[in-house]
This record gives sequence, structure tokens and C-alpha cells, in this order.
Amino acid sequence: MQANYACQSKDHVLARRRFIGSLAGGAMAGAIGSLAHGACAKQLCQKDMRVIVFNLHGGLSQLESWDPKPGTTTGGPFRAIPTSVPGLHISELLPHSAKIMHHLCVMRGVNTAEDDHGKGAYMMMTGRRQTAASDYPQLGAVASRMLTDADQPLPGHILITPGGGGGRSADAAYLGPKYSSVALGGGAPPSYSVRPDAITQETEDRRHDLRRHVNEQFLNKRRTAITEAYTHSFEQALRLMERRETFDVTKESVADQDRYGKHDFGRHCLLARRLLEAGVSYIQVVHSNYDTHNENFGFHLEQMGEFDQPFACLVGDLADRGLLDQTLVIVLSEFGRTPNINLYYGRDHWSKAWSVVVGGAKMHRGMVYGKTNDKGTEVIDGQVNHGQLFHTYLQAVGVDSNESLLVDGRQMPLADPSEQPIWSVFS
Amino acid sequence: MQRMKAILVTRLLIGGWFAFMVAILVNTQVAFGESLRERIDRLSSASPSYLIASPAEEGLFLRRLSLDLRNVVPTDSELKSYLTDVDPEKRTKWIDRFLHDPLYYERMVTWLDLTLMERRPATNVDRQLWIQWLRAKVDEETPIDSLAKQIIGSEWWSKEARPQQRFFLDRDGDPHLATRDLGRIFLGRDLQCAQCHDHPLVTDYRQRDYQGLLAFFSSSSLVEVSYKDAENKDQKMKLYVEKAASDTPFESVFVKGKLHWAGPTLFDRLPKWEGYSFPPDRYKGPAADWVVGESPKIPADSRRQQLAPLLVDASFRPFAENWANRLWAMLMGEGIVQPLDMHHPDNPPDNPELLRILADGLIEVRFDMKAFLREVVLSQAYQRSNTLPWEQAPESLLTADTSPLQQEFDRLVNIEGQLSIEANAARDLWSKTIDEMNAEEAEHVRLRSELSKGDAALAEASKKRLEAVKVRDAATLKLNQAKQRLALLGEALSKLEEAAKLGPKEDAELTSAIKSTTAKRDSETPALAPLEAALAKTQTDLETANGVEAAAQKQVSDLANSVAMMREPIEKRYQEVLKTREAWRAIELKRQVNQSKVGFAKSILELRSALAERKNLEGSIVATEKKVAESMVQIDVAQKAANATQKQVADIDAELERLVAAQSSIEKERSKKEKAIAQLSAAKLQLSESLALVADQQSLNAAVVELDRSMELRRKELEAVSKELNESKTTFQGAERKRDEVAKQHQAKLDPLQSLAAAKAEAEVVLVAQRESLKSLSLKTEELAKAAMETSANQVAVARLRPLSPEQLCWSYLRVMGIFDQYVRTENKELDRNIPLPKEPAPSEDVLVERQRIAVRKAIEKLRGNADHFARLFAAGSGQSDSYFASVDQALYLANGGAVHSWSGPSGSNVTSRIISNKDPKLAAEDLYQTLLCRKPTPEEIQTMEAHWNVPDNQKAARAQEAVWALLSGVEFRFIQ
Repeated sequence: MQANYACQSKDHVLARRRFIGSLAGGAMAGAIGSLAHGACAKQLCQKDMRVIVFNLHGGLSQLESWDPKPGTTTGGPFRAIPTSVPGLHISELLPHSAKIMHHLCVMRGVNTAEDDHGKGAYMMMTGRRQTAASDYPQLGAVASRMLTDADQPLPGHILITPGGGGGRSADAAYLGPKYSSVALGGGAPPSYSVRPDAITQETEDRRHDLRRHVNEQFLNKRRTAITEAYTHSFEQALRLMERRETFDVTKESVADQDRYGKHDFGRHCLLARRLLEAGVSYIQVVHSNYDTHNENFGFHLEQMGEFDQPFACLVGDLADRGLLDQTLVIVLSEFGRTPNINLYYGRDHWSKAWSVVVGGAKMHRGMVYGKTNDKGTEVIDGQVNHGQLFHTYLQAVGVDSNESLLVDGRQMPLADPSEQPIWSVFS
Repeated sequence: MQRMKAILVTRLLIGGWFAFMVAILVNTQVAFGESLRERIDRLSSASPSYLIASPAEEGLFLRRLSLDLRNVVPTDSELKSYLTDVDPEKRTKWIDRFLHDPLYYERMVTWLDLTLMERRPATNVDRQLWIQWLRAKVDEETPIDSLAKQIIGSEWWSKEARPQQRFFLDRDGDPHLATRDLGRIFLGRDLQCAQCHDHPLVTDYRQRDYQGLLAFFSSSSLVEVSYKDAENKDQKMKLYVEKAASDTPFESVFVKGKLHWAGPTLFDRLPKWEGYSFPPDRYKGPAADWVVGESPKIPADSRRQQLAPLLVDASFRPFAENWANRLWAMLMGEGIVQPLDMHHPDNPPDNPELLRILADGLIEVRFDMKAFLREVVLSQAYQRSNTLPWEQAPESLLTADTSPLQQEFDRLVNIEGQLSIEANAARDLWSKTIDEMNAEEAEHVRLRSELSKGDAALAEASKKRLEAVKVRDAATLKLNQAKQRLALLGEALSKLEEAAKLGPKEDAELTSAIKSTTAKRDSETPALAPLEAALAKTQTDLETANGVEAAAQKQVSDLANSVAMMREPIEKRYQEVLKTREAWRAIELKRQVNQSKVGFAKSILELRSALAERKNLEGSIVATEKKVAESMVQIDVAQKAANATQKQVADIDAELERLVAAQSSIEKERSKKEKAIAQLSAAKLQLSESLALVADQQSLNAAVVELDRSMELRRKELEAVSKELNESKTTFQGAERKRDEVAKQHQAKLDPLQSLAAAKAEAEVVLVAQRESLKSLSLKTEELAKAAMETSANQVAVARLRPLSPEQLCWSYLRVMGIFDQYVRTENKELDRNIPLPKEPAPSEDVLVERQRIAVRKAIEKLRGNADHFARLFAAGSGQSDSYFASVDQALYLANGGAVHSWSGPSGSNVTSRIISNKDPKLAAEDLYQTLLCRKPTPEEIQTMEAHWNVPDNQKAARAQEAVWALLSGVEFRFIQ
């Protein structure tokens, strides 16, 4: 059996049990605690760095967002507007975002060469191509593994989806389910985080006291890393229940709620802000659906209209509150959309030349990296792929992406070892 | 004989449900006399007794056994009945009872399911079908080798053999995934890293091994076919189709340009040599008559079917080792090779000798899982407690005579180097043989790729020939049609002419018909010649095509012959490689055994010396502490003595001060006297001068005399004062001397005091340092103790503390709270109602056993949703090996999930109900602990519980449930001791 500790050591390398020291005297007290929380975990953990990902499902059109080509045959009807970065223009659909571009870095040379939704999404989230014989952990699992402090009661990998239920998915692969995402379907708090009505506060206190007492009896004889982890999880659960308000956006000021917007995405962004402030390492907010094979322009007008203000609010708030230096902001999709406008005024899947926006943390601010040609049909400078981006995300939060983790006796590289970070985008 | 062979059937009535114990006398005794359990125990009891844990406590033993063999904890009634069983052979009896419990079969089904499928979703095969197949196999006690054969070598075109193909079907038939998981799950080796080159770190994982295994699967993939279901509706289904194999040579990404043959091999073992069949013979014909449309064809040579026999061959160790290791891990919580799929020299078995014994044992019982498990759980090794003697009394390790262990350690260390050298040499020899084979293989690879090309050319030629036949046939048809038409026209003409002869003269219509028919015949006759010519041309083309095909066929046949000629040398090379590989494995095993023993002895000796060191240090600390205390006493005494002299000095000082004061007053007196004398002297002088002038000299003389007398008096007084002064000075000097003397004495006393204080300070520094080193030494000792516990567990000298699996946790909750048995009772009643058992004749035991099994399975199906939910929270994701972890969402579920809360409530006669109605708080506490943790509570625990439910009756229910929940969520329930 393996104890899935932060440092992923085999539990028999870690504490197997407490050595009962009649010889030990008092000197050994407290020795176990240090094992349970893992000295190595502390070394590896990048303190207080966080990641927020805006995942625009279906494939955001780069031409209607970060890389507009107005007045060309591929440009579509929208204009480009100046931003807070002199010389940088983005689509007029993003007037609020335009004001905060000095916090961000636009990557305009993304080429992932994969036009399938599922495969593209897998590549963007894991930094690798999917193969049948192996499965890789998603960015959220890696971030949760590398950035979350052992004492954090809130889950380290949170997924805020427009709808659907909660629960955990298998996106942590070999890192183990401890790091897989906890989905907050429709922004609802984690499952079972409310005490059942049948249990009074008195009963709750008593039964937990009794549980601790009963445990102590056993732990006086047997205390190991795996028993510590188990008892610890109950205390974490109680702390999460105490902090359940973290998941309640109505606790935010009415002004903020108005600013972010009353629609789902606005609420989810505000929830993300609360969670970031509460110390959650990784949050992915999903905004759907951008798969605009028909009526691309109408859809983007609507979708970007919903996206723009809350996104800009969140980035601006993070900057104002001094959190941006320790929060990596990523806006991505599984791919972009074709420069060519089809018969139905739509744009189709396109992975050859599209854009990803990254900002905050160690990223260079107010920067454009990479360039497409006049019609946006090809990358002509600064081409990057999913693997390089994945490396870059990790480096931006202070994690050495060329490191490996020892998982079950196997060395698992954090990111695709055949790729490297984009070194020139860090400040 | 009859008695010996008899199946002993005992029917027991326990806790309201029937269990049937069938103790079959399994003959696992091997030919050479020593059973597997005896061999395990001989090995695991080889260490001296002070290094071996005592047998587990009865209750905890039953809990462990029940979880391991049935996936659930025992019920309270089972526990009671076990504890009160006075049979000296009761452990054996209960082992057999559990091995025939319906839950044992379910446990094995779950285990096989998780081992083989690793919680992969059922996409191509219905999960229920798969489970049913596993149930049938487990019920038949199908050995694991036969199971493997059925999974790997099954007929892919058969609908009936579909469930067992789930292994591949729900891995999407991907050749690389099949290769990886076959290696991992059936051979305990994850070869994935050797896909593109020899493993960079692991010497045992060769690219040729990966490619050799891959070749068994590379011609297989999923193909979707249509069929009609029972209701004649169109359905689609994916088949794991195998095509006729062709070899693609491989090269290392590190060593470009050097091609290797990519034929099927299993760690250098060759399957039967593939003959070479010509295209029409490469397939036996369509596979499935139930397929609508074109069915995939069955290849003449199936590589998949060749793999199974190679795999389960008794001389092939990895298969037996893997399953022995996996079954062992099922019982012990951890494999001898751990992770279970990482068997290689850099992650050697923790106890290679044990693994060898177990693999032998598994082969001897012909891969019968139950017989194997039975032997293991019967061993003392399995039945040990999880506490080592020195854990409770570290002193015992210090007092034990470890010199034999030390000697053994020294001996083992001595031969370590030699073994390494030998192992390396053997490995190099193996590598060299591979290199030699590679050289030989070059020609083979060339011929094989030529053959592949020839094969393609032949296929092309055959295709062309068939086309030529078609063209020829078309030309023949065309000619024949023209000929027939002419013949018919001729016939019609003669008929018309005949008619004209018979009829009236000048039949204009007839004459015109004859005329037009003649014209038609004459006009069409010349067309025959070109058609004939065309036919002749197609005939020639066909002959050419025939020739090309024959040539291609000849070439292929020649090449196939040449390949066949290579068979002997290649096979010989392979045998050579295999021989050297096995030789290396044998010496490597020796090295690993030595290594493992060294590790164990080292861990114990290191622990012992650390303990001794710690004890010494503790002694030293005590000594230092004593020293400090002593010096404190000395300082105290010296201080007191110094204090005395100090007082003396002070006294003298006071005296001196007083003397000084006295002296000064005397001096004052003296100067007063001197002054008076001087005044008198001056007065006398004045008087003497006046004497000459004054008449009354007599009176003046008298005054002078008076003055003289007075002066004399003063002088005497002065003398006295001077004397006094001198005396005082002497006294002072004396006192001063004394003071010096006393001060000296005082100083003499102060000096040692200082050195004493210095000594104390020094001792205190030492003490701090010693305490620091004790702290680090204690930590080190703790680490060493953990290491020693680990090596001891590897030697099976002690049991491991291990968590329940997600399934064990869920089913144990359900069972221990009476819910599961309630469901089984309901199912039994349902069965009795629907299929009543005949009163006469009384149903046989077999029937009853089968009935119970059905009821249990139905109950499991109804409750399975719970286990699935637990798996979602507690288990690894699909395609990953299960491993323990604790997370917030698990705890939230256990704390707030409706299910667990309701389970812990009173129901029927479950433990919560019993506690509520129990009038005796002590007995209630005992019931609680026995039922949930299989042990008696300690007096302190009883006290806690008594206090906990010492409340008015209306609060008792809540209190009882709180206590039950606390234990269910407690750490002791979560783990197997």
C-alpha cells in the first residue's frame, strides 16, 4: 500500500509506526508530526503561488478576441481597439479587458496541430499528446501537488463548471486522486460539506471529541504516516465546514456582485476570487460554448460580452489587492478558430495559429509574444505549442518544470521532457 | 479411503444466517514432503525469536482473515463463536470455513476485476457480463493460468468468449496498451519505458522484450461489425480482430540504422516457428456467420493464441512470480515486489527467496488460487501480530545475544562483492549473446523484409491475375453472345426460308423478313473476328499475369524457404540468449537474496547499536546531571565556608574601623595634650622672662613650679596617650594582620568556588549538548526502528498495518451494522417464496450452498451502488493501481453523508440497538468494541464509554449512535492490524 503524501514517498520509507520508546523518554514527542506533514513536501511546495485558468470551451476565436485582423478578408466585422499597452490592439468585443492588458502577456503564435476537441483539450491541460498506454495529470493536479500546503483545508484543485454535479474526476492520473479536481457544478460548494439536519451541534461536538479520544487510544500505540493522514483528513473536513462561506459569493458586497455581473460566469469569477483569497492553489473556471461553426460573430458578441467584464474585474482586483504577483492567470481553449469564414458565417476548428493569454505571477507584463501573418493564417514569429506552454505555466509559479516526481518508484517528469519553457516571457 | 476423501460438511447456525462450512481436504502437500506453508515458515522463522512477532490476538486475527478472504469484517456473532471455539485446530477450521463462504467467491471476483481491469470503464463489454464470467470462473475454481489462457487466447469471433476479451476490448484494442498492461498485470513488469530503446536505467527491460511482446498484439485491433440481435434489430459491436501478422523491424532511437527482427518473443522465448503461408492460405475464412455484411477473417496463424501457452509455461518464472506476488499482496497488504508491476533488478523483491518459494508453490498447486491462499493463511508467517518484541521492550534487543546475527552479517557482506561481480559477468555474457544474435539476425531481418516485400508483390500479382481473369471472362462472354446471336439468326433464317417454301407465293412480308434477316446476319458476321482477337489478347494477358504471379510465388516460396532455413540457427541463438539470460537471473537471484538478508541483519544491528548508543548517552546524561548536581552541592558548601570567612573579614574590618576611629580620637587627645604642653611651655617662658622684672619672685616661682607640675602632669598624660596610641596602633596592626590572614583564607575559599562554578557551567554545557544529541539520536533510532520494522515485515517476522481497500471499507460498514445480512435474509425469503425447496427429499448441502450463494450475490447487486460510491471517493482513477490516500472529501462523506449516518443508527438488533437497550454500561462498551473492532476495550475505554452514555434514557439513542459513528470513523476501523 502506498501513502500518497505530498512528497510521494513510499510509506515504508516514511513512518511505518511510532517506535514505542520506553528508552526514548520525552525527546521523541512531536517527531511524528514532522513526518506526517513531510519535510520534503515543504521544500517542494511553492508557497502562496496560485493559478487561475479561464477555459473557454469549444474554441475561442482568436480573431474576435486577442488577435484581431480588421479590414482583411478574414477579419470579420469587428474593429480592433487600443489597450492599456501602447501599440497593442485587441477586439472591440473586449473593452474592459483592453484596460487591464498591461497585466497580461498575449501569446499570438500558438500552434498545437490538433483540431479535435477532446484531444486538443487534453493537450492544452496536460501539455502532452494523449496516448493509449499512458495518461498524464492535468495542470490543476500538478499545481495542486506542487503548490498546496499540507494544512490547507480547501481542495487544491477546483473546477467551476457552468452546470452539472460535483464530484471528483480522474484528471490527476498517476499523481493520485488526492490531487484530482473537485468540481463545483454551477458554483455549488463541495458535496457533503453541510452537517445533516439530524445531527445537532452538541452531537457533532461530542462525536468528534469521542472520535479523537478513541483514536488517541490507538495512536498511542500505533502512529504512522498513513494513520496521521486519515485523522488529519477529518480535522481538515471540519475546518472546511467552518469555512464553507468561502464558497458563498452572496457574502461579497452587493457592489462587487453587480460589478462581476449576475450571470453564472460573473458569479463564478467572483467565487474564484474568494477561493484565490482563501488560498486555493488552482481554479479552473469554464465558460461555454465557443464552438461557433455557425454565426460565429453573433455568438462571440454574446459570449465575449459575458466574459469581458468579470474577467477584467478579476484581473484588476487581483492586481489591486496585491495578489497578481502570486497568481498566474491563463485564458485558453482547446484550439482557435479558422481565419476562413464559412458559408454559415461560422469559423471552424483551427489549431495552426491561435492565441493564449497568460499573466500575473512571474510573467512579463503588458507583452505580446509571437505573431501571425496579416490574415492570421500562419504563425510568422514566436511559435509555441502546448508542451512549451505547460512548461511555462509551471515556471511562472516557481516550479521547475524540468523536475521529476518519484511516483511508485517511477520518475515522472512534471512536463514533457522533450519541450522547454518559453524563457523570454518571464519578468 | 472413503473417510479420507470424504468431504466434511458442517452446517452451522450463526447469528441468524446460515453458513456452510465445507472443509475440503485439499492435497497441497507436494511430492517432496514439505508443504508451501512449511516452507514459508521455515524461511520466515529463520531469524532468532527475539526478532519475530508473537501470533496475532485471536479477535484481530479473525478480523484480518475475514477481510483478506471475504472483504468484510466478521460479524459479532462470528467473532463470539470463534472466540468460544475450543478446538485446538480452530484457526484451520475457520480458514476453511471462510474459504468456502459465498463472500470468498465474491472477494475473488472483485480482486480479479480490479487487478485485471483497474476500474476502467466498461465501454465495449457490459460490466455485468464480465462480472458474471468472473463469477463462473471463480465458482469453478479456475486456475489463474487457465484464466490467462482464456483471456489472451480466446476466439475473438465468438460471442460467447466476449466477456473474457474485455481485458483488450475495454483497452480499445490498442497494441501498446495491451503490451504495457499484459506486462504489468500478467508479468509484473512495466516495459513501457523500453518501447523506443533499451530501458536507460533498468538493465532487465530490453527494447527487444517490449517489441517481442508487442508483436503478439500489433496485428490486432478493434473492428466494428453489424449484427442482428434476438429481436432482429440491427446492432453494432466492436470485435478484437486479429489479422495475419506481418513483421515490421524495429530500431532503437539511440542506435539508428540497426534493424532488429520484430517477431513475437516473450523475454527471449520464441513461440512455435511461424511457417509461411501464401496469401489465400493466410486466412482460414470468414470468422463469424452472425455478422451482417463482410465478416473479418480468421488468420491461419494466431499470435495471440501462441502467447498464452508461452506465458503459463511452468519454466517461465515471471508469470508465476507475478501472480504469487499479487496474491501475497492481497493477503499481506504489500507485495514482495512493490509496486506490483515493477519487478526488476533496481527494484528487487524485498524477499527474493520467499518470492521463489511462493512462485514454486503456485506452480505446484497448478495455479489454483484457493489452494495457494489457504497455504499462505495457514502459515505462522501470516498469523503474526504487528508488534515486534523489541518494539514494546527495546531493552530486549540490547540483552539479546546478537553475535550470531553479526557473524551472519559479516559473512554475507563478505560474499556480496563476489556475487555482484558474478552477476555483472553473467549479465554481460547475456548482453554479448544478444549482440552475437543481432549479428546473425541481420540476415534474418533482411530475408524477413524481403519476404514482406515479396509478399506484397505476390498479393499485387494475384490481384492482377484475378483482374485478368475477369477481363478474359468478359471477352469470352461477349464473343459467345455474338456467336450465339449469329447462330440464332441463321436458325431463324432457315426457318423463314422453310416457311416461304410452304406458303403462298409471293408472300411479300416473308420475303422482306428473309431479306432483312440475311442482311443482319451478313452485317454482324465480320464482328466476330475482332472479338475473337480481343479474347485471344486477354488470354495472353492472363497468361502473362499467371507468369508474374508464379514468379512472385516462387520468389516468396524461395524466400520463405530461406527464412525457414534460418529457423535452426536463429532458434539456437535464441536458446543461447535464453540460457545466458536464465543463468544471469539465477545468479542475480542469489545476489538479491544476499542483499535482502544483508539489509535485514544490517537494519537490526544498526538499530541495536543506536539503541545501545542511546542508552549510553542516556547514562552519560545521567552522569553529567549527577555531576552538575554534585558541583552544585559543593558550590553550596564552599559558598557557606566562604561566607563564614567573609563574615570574619567583615568583623575584622569593623574592628579595624573602630580602631581607626579610636586611634584618631586618641591622636586628637594627644595633639590636645601637646597643645596644652606647648601652651604651658610658652606660659612658663613668659613667666621666666617676667621673673627678672617682678619683685615677688617667690609667688612667681611658685607659679612656675605649679606650671612645671602641671606640665609634668600633662607630659605624663601625653605619654600615657602616646602609649595608648602605640598600643592602639599595635592592636590595629595585629587586627590588620589578622584581616590579611582571614582575607587570605577567604580568598583561598573563593578560588575553588570559582573553579567549582566553572566546572558546573562546563557540565551544563555538556548536558545541553548531550541532550541535543539524544534528541537527534532518538530521531535516528526511530528511523532505524522503522527501517527494522520494514525489513522485519519483509522477512514476514511481523504483520504490516495496512488500510482497508475502498470495497473492504464499504462492505465492512454494511456488514458490521447488520445491513448486509438483513439484505441476505430478504433475498433468502424471496428465494423461498419464488422457488420453494422441496420438503421431501431434504435438499442436499450442495443445493443449500448454491442457494446461499445466490442470495448473497443478489444482496451484493442491490448494495453495489454503495461500493461504487466508496470507490469514487477512496480509490484511484481508472487505469491506475489502487493506493491509499486520505482526503477531505472522504472525511466529509463519512461525517456528513446520509448513508453512513443512517447505517450507524439503531436497526434490528444491530450494535447501536443493543447498546441502547443494554442496561449494563460496561457490557455495552464491550459489545461496542468487540463488534466494531474485534477486541475488548481497555479499562480506560470502558470508563470513557460509561461516562459517555451516562445520560437520561431519552438521550441514550443519540449517545449510542455517536459512539458507533466515532468508532466507525476512527483510525482503528480504517486499518487492518
